[in-house]
Amino acid sequence: MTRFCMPYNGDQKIIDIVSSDYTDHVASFYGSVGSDPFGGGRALKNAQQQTLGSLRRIISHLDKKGIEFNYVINNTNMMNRECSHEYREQFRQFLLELQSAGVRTVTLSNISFIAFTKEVMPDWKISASVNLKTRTPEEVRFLVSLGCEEITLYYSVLKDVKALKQIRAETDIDLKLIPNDVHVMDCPWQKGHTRMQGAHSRKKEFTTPYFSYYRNKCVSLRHVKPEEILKAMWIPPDQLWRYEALGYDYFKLLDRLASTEWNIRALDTYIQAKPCNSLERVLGTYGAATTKETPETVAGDASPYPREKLEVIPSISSEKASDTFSFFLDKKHPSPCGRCSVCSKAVDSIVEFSEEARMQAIENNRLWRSTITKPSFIESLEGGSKRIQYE
Amino acid sequence: MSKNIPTNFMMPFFPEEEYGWFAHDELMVFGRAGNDFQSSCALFSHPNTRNMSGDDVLRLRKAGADVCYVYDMIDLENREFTREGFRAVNADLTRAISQGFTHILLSNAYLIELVCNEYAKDLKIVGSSLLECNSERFKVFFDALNDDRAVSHVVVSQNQMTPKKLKGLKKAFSDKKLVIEADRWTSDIQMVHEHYYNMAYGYSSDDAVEELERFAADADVLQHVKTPEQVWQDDPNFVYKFGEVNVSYEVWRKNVQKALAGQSEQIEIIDHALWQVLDREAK
Repeated sequence: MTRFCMPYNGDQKIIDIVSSDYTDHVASFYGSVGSDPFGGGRALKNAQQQTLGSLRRIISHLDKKGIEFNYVINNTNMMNRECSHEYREQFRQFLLELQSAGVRTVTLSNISFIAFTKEVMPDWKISASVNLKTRTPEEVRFLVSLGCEEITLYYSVLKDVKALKQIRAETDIDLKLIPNDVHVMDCPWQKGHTRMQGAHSRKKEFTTPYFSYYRNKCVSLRHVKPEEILKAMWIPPDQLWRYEALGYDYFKLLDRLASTEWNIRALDTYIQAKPCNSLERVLGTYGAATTKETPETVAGDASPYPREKLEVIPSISSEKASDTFSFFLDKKHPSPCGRCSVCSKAVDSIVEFSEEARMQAIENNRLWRSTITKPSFIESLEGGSKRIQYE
Repeated sequence: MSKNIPTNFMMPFFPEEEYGWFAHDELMVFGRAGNDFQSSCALFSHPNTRNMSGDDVLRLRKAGADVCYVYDMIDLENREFTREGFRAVNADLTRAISQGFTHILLSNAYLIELVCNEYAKDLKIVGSSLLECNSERFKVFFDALNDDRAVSHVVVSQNQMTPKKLKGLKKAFSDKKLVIEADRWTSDIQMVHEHYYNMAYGYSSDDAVEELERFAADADVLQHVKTPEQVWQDDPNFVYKFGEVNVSYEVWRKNVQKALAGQSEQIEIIDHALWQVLDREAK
């Protein structure tokens, strides 16, 4: 039976809808109170900030429905604060506060905090974050030896059937896969991007601006090389069954930054497991954008990240894509992925871009990139967070 | 089987060193340039870190070496995007150019973009191993820059490296020189590697140094650190990087001698001792 782990976006409605209508499908939620002293992988909007009191009520409600709440502290770099006794004591206090709110499962991405949490909260379930980049049986073994009882595997394994089989054979613990992030294959920006998010989501005494620098990297890449959409580490809804056949039946859906309406629609689409041509429907990255209009020129735009001018959304022909996606889990598929030309050959018939819009976006991105290293751009970031808003 | 002897090197700066005792075709000397925006970094605050003056840079350049400014603290907690941080970084880059540095070692993607866009005529970039370049796929990093010609070298990450991946890497990066770190801490357990480097490139404090010392000597951890035999790549076309801005002269020299004698298996991983030799009084 397919199980899903849903994002908690700070909206009570998503809790109500899932606990009312989706208890057969949703096994857990993951999320946080928003900005906390330790930070996570997502910098939530101010409107999404919560209190421990509201978290307590949510967990209590979910407990009655048999749905787990997984508190996420997956900041990828605490910059050595975690080495100090004072900070660890602060972390211990925070764990106690979470415990009083009913938390019994926590996602972590710092290996010394995994050991520390196991010591402080021996009965808690520790879930290893995707940010730990677990992609081999040896890494799974290492995390299990630290006391992890659940692991979200790194995106890279999604198109590596050999690794998927070897890892599944290694352990009986829950292994989650994230199907709806169009994660660039072997993304070279992952480290910088997660650190930028982690630093931004941590409560701190100083403020720093945030803009969609890293997001723009993969957006730009997909304009220049549309085959990257096929190569990316995501699973179309009608292909989940292939992973279930390999022993992976637990899927963590994104996105904590998306609206309840969007998240429920994505969940529905994956439950129905039918072909889906609309990338906006399932992939958070595309769901964040709302326009397919031809981008105008970016020159002279005052916005630090003029999304409508930098991003165009393609659609895919799911029926045609089915063969390509099935090939990813075929024994003939080369490992590591990227050593054949199947995606490049298939892309023209599967991914549908407005060519004019794509070319304009490429040019706009080139112009925008030439501005972001100028003092005037940095000055335009003053005044807090500047990022795309998920609708 | 005989081993290929390297002839292209990246070597750490030592004030009195002439670098003439070993044959080389290409030599790049790397070091720090004193107080800068990254001075709070644990690795760069190490008491053995040797800073270079403008005179040092000129002396090395006159001797025919390229000179590389080590500036590869990857996580600046978004301070690079503040007005003050951006100004400070630009001041460091301007000073490095005026001092005569030819190259800069970078790992922060935005700073790479900054140098590519604004300083390409004066500085070449060496991409740090912290970028985790270990397959041909890393090429997409450069596809998302307006102009990547300023990037002359890329240091290969050896975490989960395989001969097949290395072959693909060489083919894909024919326009850049690939650098192999011969004596550094790498692991096929990616999170072990990243945890160590997160601390080494995090903010400096006594607590951090103590934790680095403990972690680098932990037997449970060390079993996952690659041995020199696993790290060594036998190909004279690579540039071989030895040492760090704070490695001891004796360890560095011994490691180079071992490599030149074809005894790469006897190279010492410098990180094991880096945090244990600290003179506590010097901190």
